Amino acid sequence: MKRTLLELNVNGELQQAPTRPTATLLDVLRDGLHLTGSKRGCDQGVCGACTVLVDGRPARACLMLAVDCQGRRVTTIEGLNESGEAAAVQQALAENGAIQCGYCTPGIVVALVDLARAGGGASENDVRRSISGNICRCSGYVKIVEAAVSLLGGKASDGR
Amino acid sequence: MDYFRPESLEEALGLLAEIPDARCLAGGQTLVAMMNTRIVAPPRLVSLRDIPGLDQIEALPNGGLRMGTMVTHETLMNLSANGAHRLLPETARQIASPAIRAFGTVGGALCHADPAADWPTALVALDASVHVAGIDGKRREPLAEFLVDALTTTLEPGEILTHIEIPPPGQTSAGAYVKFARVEGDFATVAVAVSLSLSGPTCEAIRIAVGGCSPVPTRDDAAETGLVSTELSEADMQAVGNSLATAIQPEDDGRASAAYRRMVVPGLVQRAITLAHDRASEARI
Ligand SMILES: Cc1cc2nc3c(=O)[nH]c(=O)nc-3n(C[C@H](O)[C@H](O)[C@H](O)COP(=O)(O)OP(=O)(O)OC[C@H]3O[C@@H](n4cnc5c(N)ncnc54)[C@H](O)[C@@H]3O)c2cc1C
Ligand code: FES
Ligand code: FES
Repeated sequence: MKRTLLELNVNGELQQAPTRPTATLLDVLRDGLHLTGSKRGCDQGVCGACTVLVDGRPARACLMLAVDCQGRRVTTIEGLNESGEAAAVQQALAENGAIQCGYCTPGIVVALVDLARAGGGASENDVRRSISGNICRCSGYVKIVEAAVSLLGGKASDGR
Repeated sequence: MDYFRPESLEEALGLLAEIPDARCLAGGQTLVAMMNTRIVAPPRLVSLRDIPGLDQIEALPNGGLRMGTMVTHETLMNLSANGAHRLLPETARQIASPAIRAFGTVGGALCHADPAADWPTALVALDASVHVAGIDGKRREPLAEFLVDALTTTLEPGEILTHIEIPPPGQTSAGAYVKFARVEGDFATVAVAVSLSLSGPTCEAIRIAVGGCSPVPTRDDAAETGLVSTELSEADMQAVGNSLATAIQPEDDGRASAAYRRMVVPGLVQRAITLAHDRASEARI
């Protein structure tokens, strides 16, 4: 299949990658730009391991066509690492024993950074809803939720 | 495959007309998943995201709402609406998970017409109609007619769904969306959407749609008419729940058996009507 050169704004920098037209953002991040923090679990939008931010919103990298991301701002777990924005979430997860094999962790961190950005604290329900699209096969979620509540908690339950 | 991101509707229609199997790309939350498994391999994609206005929600002078096809689930989740229109945020927040809500669109969901999806059911209950543009002109039709069968709509090749229009909510109106799924964020096993308005304590108008149980959302006109001018007693609700459980055409699938669906429909119908009734009564006081 014919390859085209794609220009994407990833982690604040314009990057070029040769790409198949049907490549997803996840294909380009991992194979083209060697940003392998975003994981491929299902390629169906179900597992959340590939979660990144696109124009500041959480997104399934496996369900975004790379060509359709031209002109959008893509932020990966590597970008959140470098900016230091992921640090507090990562530390909370580590301290609470919420990381086992770690495959789901980058996606969970991105989802929780999005929740933290909303500000105003988060109830346990808010936390559970924010990671409801992220599958973890190891932890049973309890430690992840405890970690997030320890960091972001403080708001009374929102009733949902 | 080639890809275009036109900046006008006319240009988009032209690009679709050039190649028989060309497709629109909305949020991609269904289409890209299907491309990843090679279920579909469109020769051309026409992205709708740079066409002005398609991501806007507009309040109409008569109190109705007109929303562009590219309005996302997330936008509708945060919509502040009146009366029965509150069905929109209530439905949106029960769809999938944050990342899918941020990019999946209401129009994409209607065009895909998955029998287990949420918007077809909720918007049929709200008596929505759809605006469709083609190379030869535009048309408007009730959503209930647009949805023909599972995964099938009246869209002809090359046509674009542009807007969805919802009539004004009644004076003392409310809605409720009750979704029954295996886990939060999954597609519905059964879903019930109710939109009603009250006149004093009695029901003035009501629409009930059941989703996840038939190729397209199921309504029962006669049963709805039977509820008008009643006070929506428990017996009234049971009667309509039972008749809807007969009207659906459920199948056995991975989520539930057909018999199970028939069993839970009456209870969910009652729950949804009660919720909507309570909400409308509160609004009346
Ligand atoms: C893990 C997961 C969970 C989900 N859970 C739910 C759920 O609980 N409930 C639910 O309702 N949905 C759910 N969905 C589906 C989701 O809501 C999709 O966003 C939606 O069904 C399709 O919208 P889209 O904008 O992504 O459309 P796309 O994927 O871009 O398009 C879908 C189809 O419609 C066509 N199309 C799109 N827009 C137009 C248009 N304007 N005119 C003509 N044709 C058009 C496309 O060509 C394509 O064939 C889920 C999806 C995933 C991946
Ligand atoms: S790989 Fe994207 S959601 Fe699983
Ligand atoms: S820690 Fe192993 S999948 Fe979550």
